[in-house]
Amino acid sequence: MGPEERGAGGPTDVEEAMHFVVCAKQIPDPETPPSAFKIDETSNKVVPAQGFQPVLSQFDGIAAEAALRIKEAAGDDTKITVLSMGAESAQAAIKQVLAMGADEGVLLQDAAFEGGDSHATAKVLAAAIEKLGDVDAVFCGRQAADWDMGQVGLLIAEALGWPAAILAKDVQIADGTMTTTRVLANGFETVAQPIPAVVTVSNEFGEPRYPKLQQIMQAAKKTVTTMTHDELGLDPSEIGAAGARLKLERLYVPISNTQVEIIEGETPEDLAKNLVAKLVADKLF
Amino acid sequence: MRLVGAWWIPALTLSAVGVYLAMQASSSEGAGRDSFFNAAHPWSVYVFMSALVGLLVYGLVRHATLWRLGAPTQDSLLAQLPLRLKNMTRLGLAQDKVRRDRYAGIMHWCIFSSVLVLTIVTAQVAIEDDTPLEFLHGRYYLFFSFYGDLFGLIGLVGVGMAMWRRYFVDFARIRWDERVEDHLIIVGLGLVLISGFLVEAFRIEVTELTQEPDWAKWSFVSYGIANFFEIFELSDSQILSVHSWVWWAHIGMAFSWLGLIVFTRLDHMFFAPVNAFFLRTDSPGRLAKIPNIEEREVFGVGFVQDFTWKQLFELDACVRCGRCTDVCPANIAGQPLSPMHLIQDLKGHLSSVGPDIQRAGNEGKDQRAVSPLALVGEVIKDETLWACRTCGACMQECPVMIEHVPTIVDMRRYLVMDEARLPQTAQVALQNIEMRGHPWSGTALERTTWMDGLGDVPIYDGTQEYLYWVGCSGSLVERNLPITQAVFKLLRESGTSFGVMGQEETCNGDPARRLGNEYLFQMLAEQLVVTFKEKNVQRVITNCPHCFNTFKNEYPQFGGNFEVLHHTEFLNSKLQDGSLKATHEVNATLTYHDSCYLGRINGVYDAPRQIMEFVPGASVTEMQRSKSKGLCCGAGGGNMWLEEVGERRVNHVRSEEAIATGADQVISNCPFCIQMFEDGVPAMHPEEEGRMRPFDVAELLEQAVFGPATAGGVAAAVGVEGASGDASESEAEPGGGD
Amino acid sequence: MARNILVVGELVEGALSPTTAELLGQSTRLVDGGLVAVALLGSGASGAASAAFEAGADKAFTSDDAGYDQYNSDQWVNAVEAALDDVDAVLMAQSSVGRDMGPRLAARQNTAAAMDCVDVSDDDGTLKATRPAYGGNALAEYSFAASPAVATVRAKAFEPITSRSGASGEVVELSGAGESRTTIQGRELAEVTGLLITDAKVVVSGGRGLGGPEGFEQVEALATAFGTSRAAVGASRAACDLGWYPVSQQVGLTGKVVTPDLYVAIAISGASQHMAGCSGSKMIIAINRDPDANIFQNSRYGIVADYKAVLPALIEAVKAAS
Repeated sequence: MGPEERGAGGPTDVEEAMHFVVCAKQIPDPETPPSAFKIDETSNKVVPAQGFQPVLSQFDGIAAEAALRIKEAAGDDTKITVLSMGAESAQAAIKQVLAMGADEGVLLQDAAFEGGDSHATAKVLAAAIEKLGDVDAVFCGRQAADWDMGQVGLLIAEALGWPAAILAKDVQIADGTMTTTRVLANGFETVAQPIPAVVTVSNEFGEPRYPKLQQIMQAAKKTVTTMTHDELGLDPSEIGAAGARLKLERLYVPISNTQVEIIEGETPEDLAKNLVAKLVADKLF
Repeated sequence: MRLVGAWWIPALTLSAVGVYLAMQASSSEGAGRDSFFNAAHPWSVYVFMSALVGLLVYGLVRHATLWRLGAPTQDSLLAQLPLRLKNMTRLGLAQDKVRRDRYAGIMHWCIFSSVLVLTIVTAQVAIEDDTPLEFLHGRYYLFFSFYGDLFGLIGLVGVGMAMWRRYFVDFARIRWDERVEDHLIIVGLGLVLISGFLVEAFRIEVTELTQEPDWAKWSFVSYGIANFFEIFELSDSQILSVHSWVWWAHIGMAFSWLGLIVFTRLDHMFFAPVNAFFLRTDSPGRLAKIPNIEEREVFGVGFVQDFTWKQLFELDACVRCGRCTDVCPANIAGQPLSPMHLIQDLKGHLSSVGPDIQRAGNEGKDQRAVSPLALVGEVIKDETLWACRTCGACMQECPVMIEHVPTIVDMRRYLVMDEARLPQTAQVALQNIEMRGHPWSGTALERTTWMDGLGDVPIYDGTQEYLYWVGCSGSLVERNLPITQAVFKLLRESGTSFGVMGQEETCNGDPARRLGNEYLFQMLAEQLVVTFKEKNVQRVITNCPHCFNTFKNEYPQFGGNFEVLHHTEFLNSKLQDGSLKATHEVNATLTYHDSCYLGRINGVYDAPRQIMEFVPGASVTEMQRSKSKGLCCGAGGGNMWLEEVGERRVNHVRSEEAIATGADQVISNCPFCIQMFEDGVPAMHPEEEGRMRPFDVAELLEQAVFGPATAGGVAAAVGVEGASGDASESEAEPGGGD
Repeated sequence: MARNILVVGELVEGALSPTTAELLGQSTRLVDGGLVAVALLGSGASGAASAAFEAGADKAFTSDDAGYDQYNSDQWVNAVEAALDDVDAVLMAQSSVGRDMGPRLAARQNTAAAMDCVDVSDDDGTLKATRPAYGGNALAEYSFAASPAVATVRAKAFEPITSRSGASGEVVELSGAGESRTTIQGRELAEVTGLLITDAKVVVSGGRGLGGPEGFEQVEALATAFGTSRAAVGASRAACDLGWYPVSQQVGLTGKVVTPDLYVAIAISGASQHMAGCSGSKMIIAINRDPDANIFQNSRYGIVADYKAVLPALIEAVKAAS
């Protein structure tokens, strides 16, 4: 059912339950201490740090929270599907969102998906969303906490031909309209768009809920389907590394060439004097 | 059983004195008395008696109906019978706990023994009366009269002491929940005793006083009173008349007072010894497991009927003495937790909704829809539950053996697992444990960072004797690295065969269990037990008392039975057997802080102190609140990850106490306590000049064994030349910082 | 090899924004004989065109329609698409505009954008974009497999040119603001009192190690000592999360990215997400009582001490020197 058939801008039948998709990505732990963060420059990949497990990207957790709050406000049978493109280990990220309250999960797992950029990823996710069908809104994190691009949500929207609002601090969906308060560089802005739409959620929204134990245990029983590129009808040359538009030429840890000079001094007055003397010498005054 | 100070001594002594005196009685032939002397309707006593018994039974049944709403206990409360009987005797009869407040100990013994003895006295009269046995005559009768009066007098002393405290001294904790019944009890008892003496006095006045004055002297108190009344020169019939009135008054008041047992805290005379019998026989540091957690639908206690019947029973044992609240660190800091009020609120809630729950059960209705108030959140506020440090001071002091901590944790379990309602900071810590295997969100350290500069660090592979368990706090919190390094160096120096797990260490789950996420704890514990067994771990030396407590007392619940030592215990043994020699002087005055989980909960007070004695040049001053009365540093019960609500912070209060000793350093044995002092001492003593420094026992010992050059922190504190800068705390920023 | 570059410019109260000038400047260095074009939408666009030419543009696509004044996704994207003929690369700022426009424009061209770049350069004929990743722990360098290359760029990543005063160029009119699926219902903009942290030459920031909001009084005092006309106060995310300082002053990966001449980090541990917001500073100095704090790995000068002990003296010394 495309946007035209929904009558963009008009009220939906309040009896009809909504269907949301939450995009979740599992990433290397962003809290890996800098000392344990290493890159293999031959493959341009981060070396998994020993003892650090991959985690759900934090903004995706907040996006799930946004979807869940709308579901609770709507008080009906809104269905939430959590969608993830990744390896088998991404099941853990899906389970986490299921434990928060999502209803079912979909893992897009295929070697053909690997090595892609935002463009290739968005293509896969958009195809999956279309296949799921009847989706009213897609919730993404503002950026994946590994690559920090902040792009996939918008690319999905464009692929589907839907409006999108990014950096959401608050989202409401009612009567066929998505109203978003979003973060600007110097303040906030509230916009209204017809659903179906995409929203990317920022940390200003709030914290994701702590799941009840009952929900954690039930999550194990919720369905998680896997899909490959065949099932999505995707051409391998358009996805994964083959379909990437941005080619990663080099990934490296910048070598800090600042060797810190610790200021000496017996008393605070000495320390202050010596520091200011250096700054004056460096022409900062 | 310790006899020193027990009530045995005074009781036996007094009895012996009485026996001796009785033996000296010259002529006792014929001594005795008519029972129901001058009593118009003696059968009335039996009516009162029956009524009292009926009332007691009614009271018991009414209480028991409520207790039975509770769930079954996990372990049988009849197991380990000899120990339970011993507890009942030691705690219920000898009242070990009551004596922790000296004044109250004496006062209560006086009242308790008086009531007990006078009941026996009355019982003997009844036996003499109603059975073929005859023994209340002759010497025994004299002795009987003597100790009857003696314990009546002792009772009055007790009542006097109690009234002094309540009405003249304005003793604080009496006022915290004072009720009309409290006045009735003490004044009532006083009147019962006085009227008893008066009855006896008037009887003597018209009988023994003139007939057998030597015998009369045995009832020495009444003898004195009788003599006093002689000055009024009343006629015999007048005396008999007064005697009759007083006798009725006495009977009436006595039975009424006994009737108070049913309606007031006087019921503790039965419930306290029984609760002592039911007291846990294992360590107070061990919280109960939730069996078959996967199959449950409800977690923790969110409804009063989800407590065990024992937890409901003990609510009735509470006498509102307030000792628990008096020693509660949260309460001392003006935070919203008073253990006494918590117990009383639960008791009140049970009384008010219990009957309705019972009725709903009988009618087949939903018992969970009965209460108008939510147990967790309304009867007991969330903030009350979070303020608890699980330090166990309340349970240590409670004279009726109430176990507050498991009750609080049960409600936390409901909050966390059932409602998922917990403070954000605790959430972050728990999620961090789940995701990263440690609660220190935002740490910039790895579990192996502490190994830098120590040379070859042996990894545990099953061949070494000991596993040195560093723990999360010991490796991921900046301030604690010097402690870990000190312990490591000392172990190495002592020639101990040990290894560490390094990167493979993961949280043993203690914060999860204390905060109430029992599910997470069980998962972690099960996994770690498997890991330990795979690695053939048998003996563990821990850095941290929390790890120590969990491994020692709680891991057996999951099949993990290891020999566990805290580093102070182990290092002390190495000093004792000569493997470590402390030869360098540390010229500093020290005070020692007993951490709750090593001290009060696990009883390790001496080993760290003995270590300090080995350190040359150091002198130790004890804090006022030390050993089993030590005040918690404030970080326990998951409070390291909770924001404090209230007037003050607990660690500020404790730091103040440490500073008050005037010592140069406060020595502790726990990485959490150290962090609390690092924050609290500067807050209470802003000037850096002359400020007390907190150190672990291991850091102190390191300096004594190796000398100042290696222990930068401790040495710098005592101004030793060439020592490097201090290892001060740097708080990790949550969420990776920004 | 010549390439044509289109800069999607922004207007601040009818005048060319500083980032637009920076992007135009860099474009002149990248076109290698090709054309530098700029798209300006909103009131004052045609007036700002001359400034654009002076900043390096050869051609300006403008529309003075006030309907463009508040960025509205569909309107802007549709308008700029009209200017994409024969364009090899599109550059815009990593701003409220660029974050939305960059990916959309790229999607319309069946490609993806390189977001939040700290550099866009020519590597032996190939256009490359460099941007931070992994919370600021790493740098990633990309080349573009499709045309046009689209990139959003951080403020102050480039230097504007100064040599073209009086330059002129071709102006092409774009159509006015068209249909949009988005209705802007309202805006709540922060009151700009004093210096914007992103414009400040000196930024003095406080972190969680301050111990409480009162710590910021000293931080502010130091900023004042440097001079209110050039120094602003920032805060780490941890401090903002605790409510000690307004979120508008948050410096970091999800806060503001600042590039002052001097960045003073007080009681900040220096986690990578924070460094991501300040590493572009010309000089970083740190005051922290932990000698092993990560901030010292990224500072030029450091003082290992409790800020409470040192700041009062430092404030006096700075006042004396200013």
